[in-house]
Amino acid sequence: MTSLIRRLHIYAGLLSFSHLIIYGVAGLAATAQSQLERPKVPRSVRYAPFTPPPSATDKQVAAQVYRTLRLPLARPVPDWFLRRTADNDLLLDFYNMNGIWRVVVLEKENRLRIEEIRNSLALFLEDVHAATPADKEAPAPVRAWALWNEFALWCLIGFCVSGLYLWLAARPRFYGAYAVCAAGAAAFILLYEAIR
Amino acid sequence: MLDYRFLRSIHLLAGAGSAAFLLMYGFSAMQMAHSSWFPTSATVRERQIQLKPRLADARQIARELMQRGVVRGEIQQAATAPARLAVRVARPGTIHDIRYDAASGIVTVRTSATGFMGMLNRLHHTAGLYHGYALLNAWGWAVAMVSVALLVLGVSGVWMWWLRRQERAIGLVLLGANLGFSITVLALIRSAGP
Repeated sequence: MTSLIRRLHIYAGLLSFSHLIIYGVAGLAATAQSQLERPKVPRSVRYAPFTPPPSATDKQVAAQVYRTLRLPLARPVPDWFLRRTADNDLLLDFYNMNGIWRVVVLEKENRLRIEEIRNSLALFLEDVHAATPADKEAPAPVRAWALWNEFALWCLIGFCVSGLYLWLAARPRFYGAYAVCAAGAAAFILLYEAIR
Repeated sequence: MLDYRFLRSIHLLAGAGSAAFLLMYGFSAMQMAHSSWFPTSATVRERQIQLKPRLADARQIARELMQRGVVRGEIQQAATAPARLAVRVARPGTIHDIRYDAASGIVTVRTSATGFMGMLNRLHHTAGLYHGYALLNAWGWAVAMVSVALLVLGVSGVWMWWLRRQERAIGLVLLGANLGFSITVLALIRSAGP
């Protein structure tokens, strides 16, 4: 039994190795952030011709911009996220895991201003770690990633249970581990209760 | 070269120390992926407190309420209008929306608190050392340590597998599948821009 659980523990670990590393990096990236708000400095700006229909609503213009630009891995801007700039131009943020395409509809100039705001690698990994299959409309590569992410998530819970079993079965007299386990659990419970 | 027994101790200590946090992350992530499995609800209560009238600083009102023990947490939003001030004080799982009527000095505090799974969900999203509330920074340190533990678990686990010669062949297939999939899919996503 112990041998079988050990083997499953190892195999599941190898099958979810990169995900576990990404979870760790995502946690450190979140720790290193100096504020909740992410930097939104564009790395490039380009323009594209665009003339909105004269009788279109903002929602219809946003949909047309989405169809015209066909930005990779981006999805339509939700209605509640339609905003305007200080100059009263329609502002559309198309998000994906790499950052934001910030599109301003410059109606008077009949063109779009497209800013590319790219997430750092650390922020990218932070977003990647959060992908779940609950997002059923995600583009194919993101959905594929999310499915494996879900597998890794089950593995993470399984590691805690199987790890506990392996510890007690193989090294029950390793008293240092009891102390460390108690310290970790106590830290969690104390912080939980204090913050609640 | 680190021997197998030493690596096993490191692996066990990292796992034992971070298990409570890792279980929290696992279950809260499960709740986010399958919200229908874990219905969450919030309890809301409202109360009124009398402060001095004609105060003009939303943060000062929040601090006053903190000193009286009415609210706890981090000031997240503060809006100042001539007659009415509004401020939000929040910590994971609990949000206090505070409204102050300058003429009467009456403060209305609307507190919304989530249950256990809601609390785990908010803790999952809490990290960083920049908070104005010391307990959140303490949690941020814990997150950093658990993140390091997770990296140690991953690296020491793979290292131990490599030292166990009898598992190498199948292990190489499994690890290769995971790395091949991850590198390919992440490269596809990352190269899509912006």
